[in-house]
Amino acid sequence: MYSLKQNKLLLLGLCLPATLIVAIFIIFPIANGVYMSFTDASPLRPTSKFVGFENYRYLFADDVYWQVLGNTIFIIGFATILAMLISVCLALLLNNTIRFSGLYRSLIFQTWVVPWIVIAILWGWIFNTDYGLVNGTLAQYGLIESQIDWLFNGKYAQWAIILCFAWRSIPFLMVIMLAALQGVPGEVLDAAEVDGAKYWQKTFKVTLPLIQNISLAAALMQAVRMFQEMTLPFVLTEGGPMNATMVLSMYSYNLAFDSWDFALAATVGSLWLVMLVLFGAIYLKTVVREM
Amino acid sequence: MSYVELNNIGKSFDRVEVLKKINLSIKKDEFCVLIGPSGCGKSTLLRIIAGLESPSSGSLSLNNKDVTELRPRDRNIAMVFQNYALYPHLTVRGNMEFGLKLDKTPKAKINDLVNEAAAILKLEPYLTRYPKQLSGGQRQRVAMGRAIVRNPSLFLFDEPLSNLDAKLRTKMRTEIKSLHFRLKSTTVYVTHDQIEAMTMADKIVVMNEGEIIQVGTPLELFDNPKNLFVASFLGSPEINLFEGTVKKSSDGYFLKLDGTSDLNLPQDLNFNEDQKIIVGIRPQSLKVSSKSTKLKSVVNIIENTGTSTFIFSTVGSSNVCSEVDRNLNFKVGDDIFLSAEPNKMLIFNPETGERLINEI
Repeated sequence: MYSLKQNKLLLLGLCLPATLIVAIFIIFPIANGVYMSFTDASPLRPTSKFVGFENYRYLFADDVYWQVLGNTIFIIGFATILAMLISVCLALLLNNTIRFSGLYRSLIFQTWVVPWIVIAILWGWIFNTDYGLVNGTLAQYGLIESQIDWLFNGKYAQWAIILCFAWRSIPFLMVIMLAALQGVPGEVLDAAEVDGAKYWQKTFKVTLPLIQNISLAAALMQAVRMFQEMTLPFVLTEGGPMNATMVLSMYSYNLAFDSWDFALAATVGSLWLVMLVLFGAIYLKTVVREM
Repeated sequence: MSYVELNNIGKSFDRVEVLKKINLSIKKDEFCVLIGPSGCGKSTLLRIIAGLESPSSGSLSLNNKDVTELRPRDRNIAMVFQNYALYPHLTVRGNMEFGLKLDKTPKAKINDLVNEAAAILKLEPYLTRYPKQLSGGQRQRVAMGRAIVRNPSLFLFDEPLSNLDAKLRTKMRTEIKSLHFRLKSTTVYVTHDQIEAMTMADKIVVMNEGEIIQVGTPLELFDNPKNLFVASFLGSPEINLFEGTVKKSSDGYFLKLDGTSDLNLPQDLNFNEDQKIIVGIRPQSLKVSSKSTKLKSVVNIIENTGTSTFIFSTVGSSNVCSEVDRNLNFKVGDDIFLSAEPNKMLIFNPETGERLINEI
């Protein structure tokens, strides 16, 4: 039987385009980023030199880095949890044959196609201190006495950003979970019903465990996506007040294009890469259920 | 005394009527098989009995209690599904104890019941395994285990063997039957496989297009089908049908078939001359010989299954099958002559398909 393996040249030729694309657009930038983290590269210097772990030492000793890392984990973590909870509820609701469920589904999904920058501006208006919807509504019902600086108060700003991140993530997660719910075999749910399960028992003991793997994988994807996103804090709070909403992506951007320290920005990126890979691996290993 | 009583059960999905005024009584401990072609409404009827669908009209009582409006969990039934419907995220033990846990049965009792069921079904070595780690037959047994631990008042089976290979199907058929014998449980079993129906049922309910066509014991239905549908549906290979016109000769009535062949009819019946009829003869009753009769045929195919030998031949424009002694040495292309005992002939009206019992 003819095997492709016998023709080494053809095999190489067929693999080459994909390998080249991956090498040029993925492996090279990552490798270059990691390499840069060991140099003092900056556009302000004509040449760069190898500095070993100097950048890492600097970063580990910098309080701002640890604050930013903490912020990122806090904001992305809570945003993911919040988005997941709301998406599961919406998906469960829309999975039932309620009237106009198709319409609701497409309306919710509209959020997904709106660019991040538009979302940022929209939420900027909503949280605006003087004429924002939030303050306006709260004041109208007498729940607040004076206007609250949602985006300029460290305590509130983080939660405002969390809310915006979660809001933007809900459509994606909801669609994935709706698809997962629709993949749950009807017979299994019938069996649970015959076994005596009520709606909530069916949901918690059968439906949710069955969509657990897909939902958690979707949550991981969304969390990684949010890690990369800096539009919301950049537009809404510029990372403030006092770095309270500064996330890794924005911090790295600022280091590169405000401080012109490419090397330190690359170090942040490299650490972030290692962290996400480790987190992803441990997460998938521990939470994905054998079925 | 009937245990399950269906009164005028009707079901429509939008404007499509899938069940039309179904009336059926099932006795306690009876093994009742619902059989019919795909789309005849048998699974819908089973789901109505289970409470997974509500009927559009009519009522259903179980053990003299009207359960029409009750949810499945309040009916004390257990159901085995076509695709087993095991909980993939639970082990075999988890699957079997799921319903008991929901009922808040004490833990010690759950353990006893699960162990007992596992012993009956020979599932003990697999209690810690997940469904995906089991073979089709084992999964089927887990599904049955899940049903029997709850000691339900009614067992429902929805084509439970259709996903198994032929050999395993035969084995599981026997297991289900012996389980029924052992547990003495009232069972409603849906299938489209007439062998399953014939071998397992105390009572067969033949359905077509949302209606019950005939109810009876397997042999009653086999020997005395009410119409062409029942006659054709039960029996493998299918019953042979000869359509023709009744004629009379000096020897008595005979059926004039296409071509030159004739079939002698029972002489003790009153036919009208030129009456069109269909005569059904089961392959087991269609005798083959090399001695001349009026029904001449040519061997097309010979099928030897080891236990039976079937000869497929052509009479006029129709193909017929007869079961013969395996020692008879016929070859493809041989001329053969067919005959049947008059009392083995089933006579039908070709227009309505109904059996002409009154006339014979």
